[in-house]
Amino acid sequence: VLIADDDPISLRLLEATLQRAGHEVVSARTGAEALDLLSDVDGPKLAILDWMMPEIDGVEICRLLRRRSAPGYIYIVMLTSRRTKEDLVEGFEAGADDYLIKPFEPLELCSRISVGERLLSLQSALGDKVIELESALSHVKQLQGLIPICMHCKNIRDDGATWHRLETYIQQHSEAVFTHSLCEKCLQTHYPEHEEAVVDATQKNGRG
Amino acid sequence: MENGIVDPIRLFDRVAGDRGLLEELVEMYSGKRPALLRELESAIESGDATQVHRKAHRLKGTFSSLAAEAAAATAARIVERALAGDFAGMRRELDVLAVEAENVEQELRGIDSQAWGDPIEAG
Repeated sequence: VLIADDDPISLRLLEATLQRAGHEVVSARTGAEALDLLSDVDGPKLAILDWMMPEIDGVEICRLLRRRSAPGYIYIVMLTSRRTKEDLVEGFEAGADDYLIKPFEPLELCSRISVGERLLSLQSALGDKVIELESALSHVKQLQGLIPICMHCKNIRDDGATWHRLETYIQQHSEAVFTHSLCEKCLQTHYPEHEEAVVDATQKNGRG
Repeated sequence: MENGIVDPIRLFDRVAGDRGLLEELVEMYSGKRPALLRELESAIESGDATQVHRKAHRLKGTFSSLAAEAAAATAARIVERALAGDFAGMRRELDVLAVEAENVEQELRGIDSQAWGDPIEAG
């Protein structure tokens, strides 16, 4: 958890409370320092920010982080003594996920941090699923667009102007695998002497 | 301690009964108090209401964290005066705050003699 406050006493109290609850804490004394730490790809994903800080206010850090397109969501809790409804609305509109009034109650703070952790965990699980799906999709070959096919032999021409047998082409461009069979019309045309035996066998196999 | 300078129950709750942490906070407060008040006074004297607002706001947070509600309320009044541009009012409140800030320190140093048996030594 990153905590940022320009008041060293509030910061130390916050740090001790979170450490007691088992959190690893990184502290910042200015808004610029906090933004720097949060901008690191491997930086903290949960932040507790004071509103008024030197260089950059906490609410401005929220706006900057929400505008960026970097991967990985950062859960932000504003912890401030600004308590009007207008302040609260401004904080949420800037991108804060939660809003706590100073001085904080340790139990309430830790409960809200647990909510943040739960959401980050869900978000991370969702992100992993998206990566899994993207990886699966990259293995699916898709046939689409205009495909030239010979009107007589039904061979297909690829992008390199080479002609392929229909089944070869489809096998190369999809996950489909062919197994050879014989339709009734071709059976009658090409193997009339075997027609009766094949029909009997088909009916026995329950396909009749 | 029922004089309203520091609420000991609230303070013990904040530090979760950790005497070491309380001692640390008292030392931090003692070390920073003169500078914090000087910075506020300097901002008032230079007529910089924005800086007064920031410094007083920070002091309000400090006093709130230490469960010193009366001093926090005085700091909050300085914030309000800064927003209104009332420099004469800021100076009056600063005089009050200087006394309260000293009382808070004395109160903090004596507060744990009731809880743990012996007072925190002055730094």
